[in-house]
Amino acid sequence: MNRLLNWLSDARRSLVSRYVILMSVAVILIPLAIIVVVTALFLIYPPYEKEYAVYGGAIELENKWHSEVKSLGGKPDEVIQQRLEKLYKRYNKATIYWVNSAGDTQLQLPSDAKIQQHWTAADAMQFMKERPGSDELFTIVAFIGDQPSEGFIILEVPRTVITPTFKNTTFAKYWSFAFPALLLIILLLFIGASWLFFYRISRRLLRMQKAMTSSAAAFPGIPGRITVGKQDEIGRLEFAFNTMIGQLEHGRLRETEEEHLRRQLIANLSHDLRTPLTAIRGHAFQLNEEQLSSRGRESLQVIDRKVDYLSRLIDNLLSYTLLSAGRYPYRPEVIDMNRLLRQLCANWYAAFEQQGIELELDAPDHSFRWEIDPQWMERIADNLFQNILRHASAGGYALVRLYEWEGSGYISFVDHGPGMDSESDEAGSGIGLNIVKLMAKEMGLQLTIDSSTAGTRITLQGLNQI
Amino acid sequence: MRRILYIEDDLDIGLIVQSHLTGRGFAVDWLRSGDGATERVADADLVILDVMLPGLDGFTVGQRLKRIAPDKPILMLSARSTIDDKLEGLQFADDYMTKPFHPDELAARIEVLLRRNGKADNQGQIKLGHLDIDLSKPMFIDQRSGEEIILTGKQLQIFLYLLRHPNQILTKEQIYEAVWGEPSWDGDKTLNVHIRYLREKIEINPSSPAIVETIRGIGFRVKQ
Repeated sequence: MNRLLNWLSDARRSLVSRYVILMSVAVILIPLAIIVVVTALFLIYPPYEKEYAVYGGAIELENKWHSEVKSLGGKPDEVIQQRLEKLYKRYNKATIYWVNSAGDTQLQLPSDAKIQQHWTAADAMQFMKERPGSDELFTIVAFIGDQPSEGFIILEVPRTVITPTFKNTTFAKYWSFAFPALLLIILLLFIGASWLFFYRISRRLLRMQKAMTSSAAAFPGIPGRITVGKQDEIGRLEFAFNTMIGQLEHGRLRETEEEHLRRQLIANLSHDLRTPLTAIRGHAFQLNEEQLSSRGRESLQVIDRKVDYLSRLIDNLLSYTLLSAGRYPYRPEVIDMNRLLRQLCANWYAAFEQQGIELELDAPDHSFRWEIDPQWMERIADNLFQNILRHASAGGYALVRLYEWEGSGYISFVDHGPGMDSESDEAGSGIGLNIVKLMAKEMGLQLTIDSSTAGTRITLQGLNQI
Repeated sequence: MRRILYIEDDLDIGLIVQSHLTGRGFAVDWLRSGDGATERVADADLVILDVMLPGLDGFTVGQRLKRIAPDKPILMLSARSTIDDKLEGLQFADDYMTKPFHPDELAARIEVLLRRNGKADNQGQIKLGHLDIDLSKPMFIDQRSGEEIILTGKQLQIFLYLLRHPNQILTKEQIYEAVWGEPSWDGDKTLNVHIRYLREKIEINPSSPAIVETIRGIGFRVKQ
């Protein structure tokens, strides 16, 4: 019992059951409505002319007439005459003949009606045969009383007054459009109800679609929640949608937390590695101030170089981790490349000078602009310069060249070192170049590397901004 | 004596930096955390600040110090090397150096910051080639003749800007924007013309300059 109630209450909340109800009502209601409408129309506008209503139908009139005339049996002539005159007043479209027992026409109403004055049995037979078949007249012959010997009374009415006619009656006038009109209204009502039913479903679905494609302020990329309306299929969908949003938000929150933790961890790790390196360098520096053999000083220089190398490696590892996870902050702007590269060369010039490398910048008077992150470009240049310093100082020459060709800008870093395939005493430079490759790719720059024993040329090609 | 407020929590690094800077003639006031820094900043000529500190972090301490003493140069000295850290630090600090730093580079950067702030160790007296320079006036004397060299407004501004950033290569855009106070544009030769006039006055041989050095394609430098 409970299960049935549950099922019923569930069914009421279901779109399917609502649709079934709608359809059932339509299926039952349409024929019912037709019957109701027709009946109402017959009542309001009967299919007879009002003035003919008194005659009723043919059978009704015939029955009435027979019983009327029968009741006149045995009555004196005056009474019959009075009665007939009274009846004639009622049936004023009719013609009444009274033929008495002698076979004479005793009375004809109206008096100018043309009928023979004397009736033989043959006349009566012929009359009875001819008249009822007439198209225009409806004839009733009724015997007075129980015996035919008392005579008979004939009632003739035009057929038009007893035959329902659809021509020129009020009924016909209204009927011809009222029925289709009412039917149309019922149909329209049904169509309207169906349309409303589906329109409301579609509106709710559209609302959901809008909600799905929107984006909440708190979580970019995740749609906002929607208010759950009715408890039907769509309502359950809305509820499920909200649950999903909740999970997404939760996931995003956890992701940002984890991201934050990971960045923090990497940053802390980098910090924790650098701090002892700083102390090592500091102590090496202090040691350098003491009296030392030349071998001791050489050792200190190696320590110093290795500290530098380690520090860069840590930096690159940190950058590489963030970069490959797509978490390296990228803030592109339109940058004058001449100016940026000149600044970067200026930063590195002293280091190159110290190593005895001539650093030259060859830039055109007219600069070109790229849309890039200057910090990233600085990182790229730093890594390339660092590689030249570490591996190509033997060449004694480095050139940074900027030029334009067919709408693209080119930046080349050229050195005269022994090339990339040569054995280097400081291996592991790969990560620096990998960062360059990753960053160039992310910024939409094309990287070309030409390396031979005569030197290395690394070229960045980018689309110039107007 | 020039005083440095040094905030660093690492004992090893702190001791080395303190002894190194003391050896270079600075008075170093070393704190192990940001506590008490706001009271002592007034006595210092420069602040060296680590980022990872117990209690308040270096960024917060630095911002507070800058609010109390806006003119006091702050040098961030941190093992945190990401761009975001540098950008955050440079919002208030005058320089950002990452560990492991070279002690000589630290000293050089301190000198630059102090000189920019008018706290040079020799009260603005510099000997540069054949020139005796007094930055406080400013005045330029040719040692050979003992005569003063008179520079025009723009020549003076350019030369002073180079002198305040010794051993640093300054690009032509940097110099132009510092002196003229407006953005430079492609192919502008104004600066080159002024440098040529400047060299005619201060160099012994203007065609092979010894004081204002040209770094081809990059900029200019004054070595000290």
